[in-house]
Amino acid sequence: MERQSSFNLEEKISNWKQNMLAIAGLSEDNIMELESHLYDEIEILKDKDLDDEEAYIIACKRIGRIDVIATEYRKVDPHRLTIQKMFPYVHGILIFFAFTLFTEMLVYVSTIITTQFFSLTDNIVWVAGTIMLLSIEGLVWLVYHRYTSGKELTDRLIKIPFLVFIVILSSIGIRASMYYLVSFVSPSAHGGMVLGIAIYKISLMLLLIISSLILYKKSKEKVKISYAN
Amino acid sequence: MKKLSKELIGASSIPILLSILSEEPSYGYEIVQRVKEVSDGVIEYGDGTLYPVLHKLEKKGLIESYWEVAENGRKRKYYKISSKGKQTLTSEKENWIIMNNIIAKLWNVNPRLT
Repeated sequence: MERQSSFNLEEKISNWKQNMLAIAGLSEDNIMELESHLYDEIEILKDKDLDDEEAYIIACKRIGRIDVIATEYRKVDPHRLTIQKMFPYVHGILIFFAFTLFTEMLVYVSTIITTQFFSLTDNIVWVAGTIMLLSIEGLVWLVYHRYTSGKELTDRLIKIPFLVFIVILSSIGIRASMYYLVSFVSPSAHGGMVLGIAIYKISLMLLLIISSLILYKKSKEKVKISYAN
Repeated sequence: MKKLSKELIGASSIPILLSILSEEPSYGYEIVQRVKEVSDGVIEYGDGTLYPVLHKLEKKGLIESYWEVAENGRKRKYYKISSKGKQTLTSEKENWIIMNNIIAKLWNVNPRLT
């Protein structure tokens, strides 16, 4: 009875689903179908007086090893897994482009505003630097918000149609601002600003690659632990 | 209990699955149980490995799938035979009858499918 109370069936099935996604790379539809099968099996076993834990262990064994299932699914659709594994990387690259292009557009627009309305022509590099620092601060806040207050806001921001919209909008904004800027900003100041943006993009890219590698390693360890359990 | 070879199980999977689905639409777990029951346990599909076979049949247009909410409130994916599947089943029946007749003649054994 004691063992039964410490065993959480829903939690175990949720871990099993995560492993299916991480190891076998199955689609949500396929996982839902296997989950439904697992529940059917568990229900029948529980009718035979097995407790949650026993029923779960036997049902998992009957459904088969994740790697064997993955191999069988791959035979039917060999390219799907590759596409699925590639998707997070492509998505990550799109997020990077959307974020950096949006920041770049903000830099140019801010420069136009400060030079045209506040006549701060000598300080445009500082203005650009401040906007870039603020954007990094915004990024850090979004990451912090995701881990402390839930994924809702960031999930909305990283939706592909929204990212594509930001990329297109920023690209148009950058081109229009550049066209306008060259008429009143000196070539050296303009060059300094472009160099600053390039350094900003490279630094941000390195930061994202390093943090992604750390998170990837950690998630692999987590999968190994839950797989062992 | 005698188990059949993997090759024979693989070769017979299409007529068996199509026959089961020609009776009525069904879902994975029920199909596994039905195969076990009808073969007296001689054929036992791996629970998780049945689905790729069903997906292969669906890709070939022999069966169709749809989600439905079961009596227990959970969603279940059902499979049903398509018109192309019915034609394939007819042709599979003919093939297996021919094969059965050949073997029966060679070994002089009964029963025959025809």
